Amino acid sequence: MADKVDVVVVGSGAAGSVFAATMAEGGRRVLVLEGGKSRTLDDLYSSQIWARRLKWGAPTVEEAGKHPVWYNFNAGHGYGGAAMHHYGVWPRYHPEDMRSHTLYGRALDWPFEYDVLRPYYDQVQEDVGISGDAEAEIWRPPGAPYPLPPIWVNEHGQTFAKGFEAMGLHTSPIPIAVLSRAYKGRPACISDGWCDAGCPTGALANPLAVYIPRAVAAGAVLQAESQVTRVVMNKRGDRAIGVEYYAQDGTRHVQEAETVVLAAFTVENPRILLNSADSNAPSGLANSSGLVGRYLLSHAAVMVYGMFPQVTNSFFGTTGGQLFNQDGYDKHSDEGAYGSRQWEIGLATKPNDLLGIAMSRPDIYGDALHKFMHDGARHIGSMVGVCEDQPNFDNRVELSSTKDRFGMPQARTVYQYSDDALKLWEISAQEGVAITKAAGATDAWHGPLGGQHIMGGTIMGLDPARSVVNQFSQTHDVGNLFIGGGGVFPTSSCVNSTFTLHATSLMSAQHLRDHWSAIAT
Amino acid sequence: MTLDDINRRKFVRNTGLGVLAFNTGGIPTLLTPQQAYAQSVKFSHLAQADAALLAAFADHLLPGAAANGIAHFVDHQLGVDAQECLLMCKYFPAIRAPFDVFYQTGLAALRQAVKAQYDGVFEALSAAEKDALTESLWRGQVDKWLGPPPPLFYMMVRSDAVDVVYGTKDGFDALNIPYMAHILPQEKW
Repeated sequence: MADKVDVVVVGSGAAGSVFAATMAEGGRRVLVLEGGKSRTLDDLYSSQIWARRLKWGAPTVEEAGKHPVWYNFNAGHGYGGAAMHHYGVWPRYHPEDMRSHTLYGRALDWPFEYDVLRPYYDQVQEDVGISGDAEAEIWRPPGAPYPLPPIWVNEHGQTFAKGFEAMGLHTSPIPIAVLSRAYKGRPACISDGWCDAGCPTGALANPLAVYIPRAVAAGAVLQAESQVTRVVMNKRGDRAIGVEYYAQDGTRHVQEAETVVLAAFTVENPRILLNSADSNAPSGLANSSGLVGRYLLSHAAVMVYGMFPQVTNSFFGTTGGQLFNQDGYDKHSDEGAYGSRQWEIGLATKPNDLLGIAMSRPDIYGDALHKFMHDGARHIGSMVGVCEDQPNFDNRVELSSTKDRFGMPQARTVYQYSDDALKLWEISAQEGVAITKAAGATDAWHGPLGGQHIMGGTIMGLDPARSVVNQFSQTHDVGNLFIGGGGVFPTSSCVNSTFTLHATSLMSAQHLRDHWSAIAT
Repeated sequence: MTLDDINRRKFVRNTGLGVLAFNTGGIPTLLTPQQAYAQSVKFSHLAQADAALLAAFADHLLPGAAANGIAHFVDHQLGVDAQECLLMCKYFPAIRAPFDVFYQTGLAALRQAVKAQYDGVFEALSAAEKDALTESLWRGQVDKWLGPPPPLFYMMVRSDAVDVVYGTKDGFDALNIPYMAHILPQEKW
């Protein structure tokens, strides 16, 4: 058994790295256990093929229900987690996203209002350097202006902007955690479009570029290939005393800690909690509400493409896009569907992989595919519509009857989009094609229903009977056990989750840091 | 050059450029799939007949895939654990590791479907017959199919073909677009 630490953080992704940096800089002994491999920025390479190593691969997550959440595509493994291949699109949740039930009688409320989270958003954007134009982003909730000007908009974004304008819709520079200028020792983006292959220059705010270096500089220790299987509890079952993990060679270890932070992504956190069931918590740890794994959330996403007569040079830019639109954000802006939706416009597009040129038209093959690839190389354009889904008790993470190589049950997800989300998706698909045609495309089309971002499963709330964690992501049942990440979100909004999970994690970590004596002892 | 001669970074860099470590006579040797194909490197995971069928089918989906070594690319990746695997099939919820099952059952189903419909082998079909079969796969309307969902199998083989033809720097050059590999900063931070 290794020496006892103050904080053991399970997972080295976006949430885990924020917890690790905050607690280590606060003088605490921090150990981060990562199930995947060690990785540095030098290990990244610009290739869509190579980048598949950054995605989830094992242990298998079984997906059931009508709609998959595309776990392997959305999740990550190894230092940096899913944020190593995320695109850095960082809009904020809107105030109404956190009061849906109060305002509209729909969905769930968060345990705090937007103004509570606002300073943490501001702090995170100052830490990482977000590029954007707060004034042009007319839908943006209150907050400090972005520290950096917008990223470069080339022919790709300019072309789509004309389509939005022709449709009477507004565009703004995209709010993105990619540096438009050098910032805090990190270089500006070179617009090479390899964001989801990791970004070894450090221009994109993945964990290896910002919070992990801070954590390590403050003394935090990262340990790779250590798969946590259980939270170890005291005999009374009211305090966590550490975690059980397995090394790659199959040896079992117990790491003692004063506090435990589960930040192993939305699906792995419930898996660990459910697998930590014991005589004190027979249905799973921190599960007195019966809600561990419940209210899993995802976004219904639609890719829209156009082939333009003019050059778009879409191989340049940032994978997350160049421009942004939230004209459809109002929960009731679309007839027949409740919820928000947004557009990320002008996505950097490479020839291959799931979001590449070839897969935009999977029906084409043979010599026609060669022609399509050559046409698309400089003339294709794309954007993605992202639609809110509604929290549903039946959407869940549960344990499979199949076990991984360490004897731990695999995770199984069950998911089905709400009728509202599917309607929003249809509206987005039609609107997107119309915008693309209005932008001058000779051909415009949309892709199938896709899942983007995964949230919920360990939702926060004030009532212990209706939530797993409190407003500080501290489990109601076990005071020294915290959850980090988008799993604590009770609603999905339609915005990319990474900025908000940074903010909630920072708020939680600072609460833990500032109330250490009361929580840890 | 053997693996003993290179450091990890160089190996990763070469992998990005489309170079993989193939087993040539018991010695791991860095080759592109195209080179492995040209040198007739022995397959490690695919049966020779399956490799030939995979190459022929992929070459119909994207001419040039066979010569670019699609069978060697897939064969190599089937020997890699799921986390390190570079095949796009790893994204898809309906395809679970180990991925050799997906390819083997898909190829067996393709072979069986061709036999049932044309009483022959895929390689010997006319272009029109290959087109008809491909269309039926994409639409999921192929008779006597006993493998993974036909459209999924079609899409994955097509994706592998695109990877080896257009997914590397040579492929970008063929499309006349810059590859733009990351420029390493002069200083660490």
